Amino acid sequence: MEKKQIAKKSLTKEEVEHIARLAKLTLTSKEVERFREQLSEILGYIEILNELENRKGNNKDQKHDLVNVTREDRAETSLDQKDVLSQTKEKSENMFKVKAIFE
Amino acid sequence: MEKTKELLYRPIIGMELHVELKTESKMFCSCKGDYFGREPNTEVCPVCLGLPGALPYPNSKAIEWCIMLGLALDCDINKESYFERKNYFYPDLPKGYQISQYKKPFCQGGKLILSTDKKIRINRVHQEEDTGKLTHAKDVTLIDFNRSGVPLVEIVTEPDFTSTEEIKEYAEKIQRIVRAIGVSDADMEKGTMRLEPTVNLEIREGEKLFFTPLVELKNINSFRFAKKAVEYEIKRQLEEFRKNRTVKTTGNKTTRGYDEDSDTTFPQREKEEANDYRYFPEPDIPIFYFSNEKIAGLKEKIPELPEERQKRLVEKYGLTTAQATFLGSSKEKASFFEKAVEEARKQLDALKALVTGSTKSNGESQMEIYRLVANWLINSKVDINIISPEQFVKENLERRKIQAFSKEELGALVKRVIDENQKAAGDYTNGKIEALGFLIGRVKGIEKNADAEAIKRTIIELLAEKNN
Amino acid sequence: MNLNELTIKDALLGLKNKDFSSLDLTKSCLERIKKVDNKLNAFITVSEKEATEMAKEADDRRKNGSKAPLLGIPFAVKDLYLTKGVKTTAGSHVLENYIGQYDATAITRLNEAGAVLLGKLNCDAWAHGSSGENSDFGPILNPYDLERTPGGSSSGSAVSVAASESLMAMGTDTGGSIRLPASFCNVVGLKPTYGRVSRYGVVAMASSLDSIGHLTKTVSDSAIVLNVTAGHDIKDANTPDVEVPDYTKEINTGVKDIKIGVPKEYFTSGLDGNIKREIEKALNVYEKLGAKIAEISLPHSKYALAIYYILQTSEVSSNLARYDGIRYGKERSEFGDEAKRRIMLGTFALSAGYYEAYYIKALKGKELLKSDFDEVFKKVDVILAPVSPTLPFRLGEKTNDPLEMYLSDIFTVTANLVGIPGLSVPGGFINDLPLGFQILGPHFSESKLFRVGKAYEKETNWYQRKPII
Repeated sequence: MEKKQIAKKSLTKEEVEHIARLAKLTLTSKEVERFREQLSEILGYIEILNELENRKGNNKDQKHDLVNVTREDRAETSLDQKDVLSQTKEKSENMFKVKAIFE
Repeated sequence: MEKTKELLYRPIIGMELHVELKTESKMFCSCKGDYFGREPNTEVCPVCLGLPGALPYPNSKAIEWCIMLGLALDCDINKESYFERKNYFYPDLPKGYQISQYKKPFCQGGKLILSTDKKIRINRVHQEEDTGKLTHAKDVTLIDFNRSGVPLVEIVTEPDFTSTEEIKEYAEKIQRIVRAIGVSDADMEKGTMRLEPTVNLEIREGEKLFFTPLVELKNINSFRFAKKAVEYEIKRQLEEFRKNRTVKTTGNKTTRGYDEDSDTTFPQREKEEANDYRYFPEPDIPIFYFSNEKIAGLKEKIPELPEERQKRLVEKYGLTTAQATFLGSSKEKASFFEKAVEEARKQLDALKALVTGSTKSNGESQMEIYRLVANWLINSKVDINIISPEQFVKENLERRKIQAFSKEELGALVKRVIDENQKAAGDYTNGKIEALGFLIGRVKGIEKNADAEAIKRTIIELLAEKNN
Repeated sequence: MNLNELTIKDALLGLKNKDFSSLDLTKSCLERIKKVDNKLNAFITVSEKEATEMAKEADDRRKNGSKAPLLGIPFAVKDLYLTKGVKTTAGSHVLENYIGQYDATAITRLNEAGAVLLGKLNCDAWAHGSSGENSDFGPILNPYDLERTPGGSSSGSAVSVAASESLMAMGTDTGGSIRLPASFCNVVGLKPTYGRVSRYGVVAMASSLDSIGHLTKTVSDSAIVLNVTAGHDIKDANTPDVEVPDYTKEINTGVKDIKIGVPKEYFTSGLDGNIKREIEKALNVYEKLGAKIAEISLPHSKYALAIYYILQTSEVSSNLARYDGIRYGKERSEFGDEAKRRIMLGTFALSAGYYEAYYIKALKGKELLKSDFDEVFKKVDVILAPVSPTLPFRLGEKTNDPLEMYLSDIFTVTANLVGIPGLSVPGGFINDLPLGFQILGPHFSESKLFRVGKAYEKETNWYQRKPII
């Protein structure tokens, strides 16, 4: 069940580790503890938004009146393969290379 | 419910089907959409390579095609909809998120009716972008991003299938619809159409009901394999349940790949934390509003779908279901048939006028002509791309002209010849066999294409009648 | 006066009159960089050779009769703008060896306008920061007091203009990152309307908030630059096809018909009393010039920073996901603390079970802020407010307390959430430290902001007070 109310939030070590995995960040145990404290403090500050509960407002992310922005279906020249591959050393047969992923 | 050793079970199957659109350019950038056979990483730009600072710009045609597919599947089009980011990490996903749709897809709530009249509910038809392509070598995985950003439409059903036959029919029907609208080759082997069935079982044991854990099946590249993969999976889940009695819980859905060589499914490595995609509205793309006029306009652009076409062939031309299914399977075949019918009608009228002196024919015999033309088309190996409908009808008429005569028409012609040649008729009746040859010759003299065997039969019948 | 100290307007006049060449002008900037940048650390990359070439080319173009609007004007860009063939680091180790594979739209437009790129400017890594201390290439220092920060995150941009290393600098403003350093460094900073200038090719921080703007010595210069950078771009779907007027045209028409709103919520205990007094003096100047002043209310202001820290970090967490070290750049372990912190916070706000409570609620809050401004702009033409609650603070003062650092942006984030333009204008000095105030207006009201800014600048000329380095 989604919580609509921001609960008084003090993050646990496990939560911080879970978030780090979601974000593909590897944290040292020191970092976990530091972020746990700092993020909890920031989340504490954010609790002020609870005062907004039950007030009107929609949840659309609209920055301005712009709608239906599209382009015509026309192909143009792409980047040179040389440029595409220029910023990595890990390549082979004109492809990017990572260590084996088994599907 | 099927019964196997004291366990009553019923498969519950849902389907996610991806179709890659054949637009000229990609979904959010102007790179070429057709990546087949290209040198790796030559059809990529900052956008589809996920370079810093690059931004997506939506392709209008892809969106129209997605909505047309939704309309063809009887979906409601959301008046207001938007793209969202689906966040996960995988080397083939250059931005670390896929631009997809979640809360407000373009199309929702459709259906597809199977030949058994069973309704498959369609949850949604939404738009997204394809990922790059991974090639697995010995110790490394290689990535080509030419496919990255190619427009995809995802069609998601409710778990309404209960047999592999239904799955196969559904997928084939979708393929025909997609091809009819002309938005994709929908080729399973090329991967421009991909099936991902989700399978589990409802098991009844006495009074108790159990559900096995959901399994999503991947790596399926033909209709046949779809059927085999699901069949295997049903068997496997049944065994598994017998052994471990594991049941479905939230979060125990797994993904299995199908291996065609061993005809088995095998567990796939789970993407870490894969179940939390952290969807949120794509801030780089403004939202979409579709007016009723816009939707109506797109509806008009949808060509006749195979199902509709087949129905029309039955109703208008009195074809059998089998004939209609074959001829209605493609726009080209159906249109060739309809043109051929027109031609046949013209040429047959001319023929009949010659025979009976009348161009009138009742509705019943018209239907006969339609079915005849249908059979010519179905039975011949003719290439409709080469031959014209006119030529096709002409050749068939020449070859099998006799079939163009109804029994009555041939009877009338023979009767006329007998009346004009009383002597020869009498000779034949009196045992002079050669006279028959003479009569046949006279009939052929009037209509050289008439079938000698049929003429012979008719003469014998008529003279026998006369003498009774 | 050295050439590098000229405004764009004066430099263009001098170039046109052949008083000096673009090469002279460019060289004088390059010399200045050589002389002072080791103290300021404003530049990450100085492209001396390319700049010299471009200056020569500009001189040739001028000889051939070109009237390109920025022909021969040396400028520099925050190292968030992609520049083909030139290193683009975003102030982070992750991209320390990354060579841009294409040009940002703003760079292309400035090139076409004849501007001469001097190099790439230091900034808080990924534009995360309010002080310039969060750069993996070392902190940037305030030219008015080398022990203090120049504000962030477009720190190098503000410093390079303030120290006359360049005539103009491009920056980015996601929550105040142009306006804050502008106010700390006595320069003019423009955060245009969201979508007025294309974001294409600028390393994204928070896509719905990022504004592409610039820092100049004067208000007129700011208008000249916006004339070049503004407008629809087929590469950025959020750039509406709204007409680009000549922003310099009405700049000198005064403020007699202008009604300035002063939001009471911005003048509370959080604001440094000295800054409050200086802003009141500025309001007196405006009154004297014929503008009307009215107190207004933006009732949801106190929620702005919390809303901002949910939306901004959510988008950051997603925008930084592409930095996986496969196609370019280094691995994710190279991210600094602040980037990690924001990625973590944003990931949390979007994660299952918390999305409704955080992200959706923040979006609703953003709508409330918008309606606050819609109401106010029915009554007044522009809003005048402080930029920073404090004067330039000392290096290290806030680095160990992220929340304290975030509070530096309390008066600036609202404009980003609402998408409106803001112009930070030098507002004087307190104990030799500069301060600025911001003028906010409705969407696409940049012309009006320039008018209002220019009227005050003409009276005060704070920009003429140069730092002694």
